[in-house]
Amino acid sequence: MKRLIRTLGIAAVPMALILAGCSGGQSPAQPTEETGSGTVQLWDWSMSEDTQAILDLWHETHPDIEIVVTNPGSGPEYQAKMIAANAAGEGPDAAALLFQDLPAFISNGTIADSSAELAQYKDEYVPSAWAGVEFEGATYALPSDVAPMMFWYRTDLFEQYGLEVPETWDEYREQAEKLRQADPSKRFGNYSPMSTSGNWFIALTNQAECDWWKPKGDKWSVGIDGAGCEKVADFWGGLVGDDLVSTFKDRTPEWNAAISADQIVTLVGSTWSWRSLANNAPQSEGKWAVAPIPQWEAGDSVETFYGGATYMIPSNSKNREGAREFIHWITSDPKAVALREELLGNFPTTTASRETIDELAPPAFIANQPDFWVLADQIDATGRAISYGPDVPAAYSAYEAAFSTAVENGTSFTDALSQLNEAVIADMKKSGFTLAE
Amino acid sequence: MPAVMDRTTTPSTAAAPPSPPRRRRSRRGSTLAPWAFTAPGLIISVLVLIIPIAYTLFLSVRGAKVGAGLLGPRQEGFVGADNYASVFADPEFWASLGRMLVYGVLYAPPMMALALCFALIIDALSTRWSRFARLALFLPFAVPGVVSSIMWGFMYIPAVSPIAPLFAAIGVDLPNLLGKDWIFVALANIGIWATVGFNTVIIYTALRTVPAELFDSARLDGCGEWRIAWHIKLPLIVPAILLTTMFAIVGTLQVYTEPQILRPLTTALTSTFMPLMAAHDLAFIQNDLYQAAAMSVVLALLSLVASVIVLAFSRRRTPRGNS
Repeated sequence: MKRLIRTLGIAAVPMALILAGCSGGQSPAQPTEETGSGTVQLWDWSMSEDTQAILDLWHETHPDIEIVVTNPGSGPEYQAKMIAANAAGEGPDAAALLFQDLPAFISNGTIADSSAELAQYKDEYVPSAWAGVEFEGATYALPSDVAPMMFWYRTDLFEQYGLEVPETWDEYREQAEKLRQADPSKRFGNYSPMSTSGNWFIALTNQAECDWWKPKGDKWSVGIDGAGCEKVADFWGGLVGDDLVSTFKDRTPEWNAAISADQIVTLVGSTWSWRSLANNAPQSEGKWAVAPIPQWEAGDSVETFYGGATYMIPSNSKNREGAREFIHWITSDPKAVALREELLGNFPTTTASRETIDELAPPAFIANQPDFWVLADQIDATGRAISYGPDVPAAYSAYEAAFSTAVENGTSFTDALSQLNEAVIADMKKSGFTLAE
Repeated sequence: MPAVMDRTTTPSTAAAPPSPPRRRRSRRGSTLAPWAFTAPGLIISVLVLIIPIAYTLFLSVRGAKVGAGLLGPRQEGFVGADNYASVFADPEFWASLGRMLVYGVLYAPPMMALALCFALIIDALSTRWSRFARLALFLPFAVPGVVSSIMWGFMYIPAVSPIAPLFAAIGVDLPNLLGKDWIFVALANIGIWATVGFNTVIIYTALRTVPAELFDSARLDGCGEWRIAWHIKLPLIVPAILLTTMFAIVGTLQVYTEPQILRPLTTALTSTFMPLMAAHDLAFIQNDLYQAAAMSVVLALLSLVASVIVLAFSRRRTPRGNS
């Protein structure tokens, strides 16, 4: 036996060396010991070299607390990365968070009830933004950006083809037909059946007063096959079926090419849409204008939101105090807010910032519309909050599977909608959620 | 690994009996030494193969369920075969398997036929040309899948494709290669382009091991090059062809990079288009590692079954081919 151990031992030495050699390259990346002092690890997909000014401002005014930024990338993988890192105890101390990820993060414990730390700030933020950080009366995050949905249109092309800004969705279709007849190479808008466009579709169905998820006591009701959702699905299915809108996946090479070639003349977007327009069609600067999106009933003003973000303190944060100070500062400090508006196009969420909203200059790309932020504020005020559920990524994946296939095969959007509804119900049941009948 | 140990132990134990006094020691030494020598390999395979497989199996019977209340918290626990049941009950999973089969049919047979043709042609070419042809065919295999997918993707997109105007110039209206009717052809084309050279080299190498005397005698008997290829070369390289079949099947089961990279370019590709994409979507988008593990196990079993069938077939064929 001794000999066996010795023989194994001899064999194990080179093994150990090999293994040590393998892992040696990674050891510098290991986080150094937490001192508990003033370091806050921050995960934020919007931070880059371009936004260094925001952090410089923080470090200037808060020399005791150092912010170390990691940009884990946005997109659908963010949620899974965040959950895994936090569960492993290696997650950040503070992090950016999309409105739609909040229920999922609560249900898997990535974020805990932070009311004791954050509820005190409620009065500083506008109600539409605050609605996104509360769940069942508890506070979980601080809102950094709300995104009222807006209708973007090309003023020059509207003039050229004699188009009018549609006030209802019926008029939207009429204008789309008009353009199609005037110039078959152009499309009035685009419909994107990609999972990353889930926020776009849920925003439009929200305007039609259809809730994908709704808490009922301690049960969930799933209503993606509701009348409002069906109305929206039918509408876009009709536009796609009659070739009145293009069907490029949003912000992909084909979409970029179409935008830069002036082939798409309107877009249902938000306050931040100018960024992808500026990247892909810089020649169209100053030629876009915004308006509220069309209504289902003439004269109504039911508005909705396309995305929106917050900052949170994850449950395994090692510096909650520093994190609290930072996320309050970045979402509410007037100078920080102004910088985020300027560099990122974030629509401010504080009540104070809204009082002077008419002084806020529009983004340079749309400098031709001086009331850009005033309009955003008006839309925001009558916006209907979106009720997100705990399995948004699964729902958006199912959205892509069902609606891409419907677009590709020219089949009914109503059927795609019920497929989506069934997929979400199945996923929630599997995860153990109780569904209301 | 066990096969290697058998080979090393058997001769030494067989050699032991002639010298009785040293028998015990020699036997013990001979039983320990092989273990010591194979230990590094064993340990590595346990670390990087056995443990991950065991952990995947473990994860596949677990799940995180919301215990009570609106949002939990989620509790991890044993769920039995629930994940497997969900995988089998998921119509998208079956649809993705179906799409994989369509891809396989469009990819594997043409790829193998082309590889065989190329190998026979190269074998018949003069040395200088053969070297150039081998290199030219093999080069695409050295291009990473991501790069080749992006490259082909941009050639396919109607808006930016350089191919479409070329075809238009000679009066051919190219269909949308990324539309639902052509997407499988578009994907299979990338797969064939990337792997045909590798398989050509395998078959070509097998051809080079066929003794030249066979061809000489065949020629003396009046065989032309076609008949030599058909009656002599082909039967002798059956094992190599079976090996490429195996690669083609594995390549089909593992198809992921091309559709995943091309996905943003077309509505014909969804996030669950191929089985591996569906598994990736489950694990890293929907954050359901457990069901993703169950799906991976099912897919691994499928590829195991396919490999065993091909291997069994090759065992039956190989002796005949050699005799």
